[in-house]
Amino acid sequence: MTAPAPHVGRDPVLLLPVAVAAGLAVGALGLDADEPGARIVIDLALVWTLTAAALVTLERPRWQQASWLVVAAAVAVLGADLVWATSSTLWTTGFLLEQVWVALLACLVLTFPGRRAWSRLAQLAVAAAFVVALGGQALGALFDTDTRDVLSVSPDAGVAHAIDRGQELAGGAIALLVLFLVLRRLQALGGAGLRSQGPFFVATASTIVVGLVWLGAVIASDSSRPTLETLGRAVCISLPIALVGGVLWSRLRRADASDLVVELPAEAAITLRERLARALDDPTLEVVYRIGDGTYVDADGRHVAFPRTGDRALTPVKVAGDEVAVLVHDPALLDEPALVESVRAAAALVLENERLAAEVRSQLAEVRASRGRIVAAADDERRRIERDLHDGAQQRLVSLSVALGLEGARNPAATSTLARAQDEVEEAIAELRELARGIHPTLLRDEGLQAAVEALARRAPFPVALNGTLSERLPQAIELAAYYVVSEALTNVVKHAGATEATVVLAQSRDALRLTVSDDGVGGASVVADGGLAGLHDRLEALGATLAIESAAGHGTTVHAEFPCAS
Amino acid sequence: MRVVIADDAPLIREGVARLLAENDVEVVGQAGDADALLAAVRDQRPDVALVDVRMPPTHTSEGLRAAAEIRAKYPDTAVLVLSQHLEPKFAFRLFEERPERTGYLLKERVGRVEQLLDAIQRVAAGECVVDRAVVDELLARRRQVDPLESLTPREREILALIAEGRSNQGICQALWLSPKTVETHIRNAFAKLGIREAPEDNRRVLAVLAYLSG
Repeated sequence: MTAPAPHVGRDPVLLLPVAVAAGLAVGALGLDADEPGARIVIDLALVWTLTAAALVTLERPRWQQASWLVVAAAVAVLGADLVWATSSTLWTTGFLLEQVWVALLACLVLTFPGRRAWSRLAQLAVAAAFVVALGGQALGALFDTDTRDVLSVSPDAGVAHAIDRGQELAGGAIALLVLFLVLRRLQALGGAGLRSQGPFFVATASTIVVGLVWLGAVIASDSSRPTLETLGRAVCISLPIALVGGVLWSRLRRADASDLVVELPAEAAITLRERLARALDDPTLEVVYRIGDGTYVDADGRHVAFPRTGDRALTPVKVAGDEVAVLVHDPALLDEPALVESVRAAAALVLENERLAAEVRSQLAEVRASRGRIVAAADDERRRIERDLHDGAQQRLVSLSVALGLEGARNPAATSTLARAQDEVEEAIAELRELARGIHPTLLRDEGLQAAVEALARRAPFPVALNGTLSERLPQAIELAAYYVVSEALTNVVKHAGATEATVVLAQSRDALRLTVSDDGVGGASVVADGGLAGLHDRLEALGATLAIESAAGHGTTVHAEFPCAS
Repeated sequence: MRVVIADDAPLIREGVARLLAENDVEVVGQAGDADALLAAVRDQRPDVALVDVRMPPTHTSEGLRAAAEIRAKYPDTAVLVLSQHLEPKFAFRLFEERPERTGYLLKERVGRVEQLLDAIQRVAAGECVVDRAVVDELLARRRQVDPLESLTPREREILALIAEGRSNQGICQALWLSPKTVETHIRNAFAKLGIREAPEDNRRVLAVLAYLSG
């Protein structure tokens, strides 16, 4: 289930008897030296719980370094207790190692659960912890008054005491920094990460608080307070316990998760992503689907950039050897491969279905985009034709009109003929103008939908009331489509409705343009549906717009159109 | 009378220039686009600039923008815009800043020399000129409750002439009526429609146009 750590040569369980034996040996030294029994018991308890916790946490591939740091801390506690020995060499070794276990724990905390310190600041704190722990003791050894101190060069109780105080103050400052970093880390944790790492960080924070109280008491009373120190070590036992607690909590969760996975198809109301996020307890979980052309889309069929960079972990899901989806999740989930595997296995088929749906949505979006392009191309063409009519045929007719005018001034005899010709030319120009306006409304382009609809209302052969004002211009495609809807609806009223009046309502909200054209005519939906409105289908589809026609016989006809637009 | 003509079609430009020249209007400059027009107006300070709406580069409403600029920079030069579009909104755009010495005429009127000359003379005299077809389009609008129906045919005719930008004197001449009669008709028509008498003719044009398009 878990990959063996590369640097474990033998079964790590062997650590346990070694720790027991070493602990008992050191404990014997303490008894010999008449150390308080409570202190000896607490130290051994700390060493053994650390060792036991390391054996549990070693199962997690990403926790290897942390586990070995825990073992190292256990060894360092025993090393520090060598000061109980009568031998000068052992005592001096113990003296030098006295604070190392604390520095190792600081290192464990600030790298947990990975291999590197969380940040530059964390790196700095780890380095400072080792400097204060090792350097302080080495310096103290030069002045210590104990006769077993082989390093002593000038025994001086005052200097030794001053070095102790300095070390305590520096240690306190580092502890505060670590506390700050841990609390910030704790705040950022969520889901699986919180479950597996949260207990350890909470224990760390409370241990630091107790440690700071102890430091405060020591400094205030200017004594070493051995009872309080023993109590502080007892509190440290919470750290290995919390480590194991995190692992156990995650396992408990795994049982829950398989239940959730079993329920997957049952709860249709929430999306697959939400269900997976819940099963894996990772609210940041994303699911991307691999579609036919090898690109990736989300559940709505939108293309997503992939693979992503950054601090996300990727878990591909395969069905019959083909990748169908990729779960993009919190790397903390990598600590629970069994959980991810069970969810992946249970969800694979559902994901495959979802992938097919996403692929269809993606194709739909493609079709809609292509329809939009076709409509836009047709509009461009209409604009071009309108322009050609104005700048080509119409200009020539105006030119002809000028020529007729000139001829009339020179040839009074032909006045009546020329006047008739002039009338014909004016008529042709007017007809051409109507034609051009129908092909593409210049007014709409220059003055917007409101003005163009006003003009439509004005030209209708029956009264048309216009309600609502548009505060701003809308995208060109929406303005055109809305214009054509009003135009076609009014044309239908003229042709079929037998109406005496009509009302056009324009309403613009933050996310949509809604328009209504209603009349007091005879009603009858099929009549309207056969009209030009049906021809607007592609145009409206391309915009994601909706068109509804209400037309109960005898109650007039109402055309509703709604155009989504983000403004 | 000194006139500058702006139209991107040389044939029309030349033709109109000849037509005007034959009627004792001096054409002091011709331009094919808005920049050349502005330069000609700056150099020649004509009485009237005849401006085509559609000119290069976009062939949309360059003429309207150039007209506004001329009216703002050279208040003594009147502008008569010649437009392909029978859209009252475009005419309003043109008049909204400075209605005096400004006109909106459909392009095809250039062949009717008497109508063109009349418009040129009126804008040069300070009037606001609105093409009859634009006014007709506004008058033709169907209304559920139409106060225009309460007007006598004569009052309606006079209202249309006001909307075209005619002064009282111009209306007298057009209808062969005495100034007193015309004033009475105007007062009655305005009272029926609830339009306030404007202190000045060109403001009166805007008030009537606004009423008709409202």
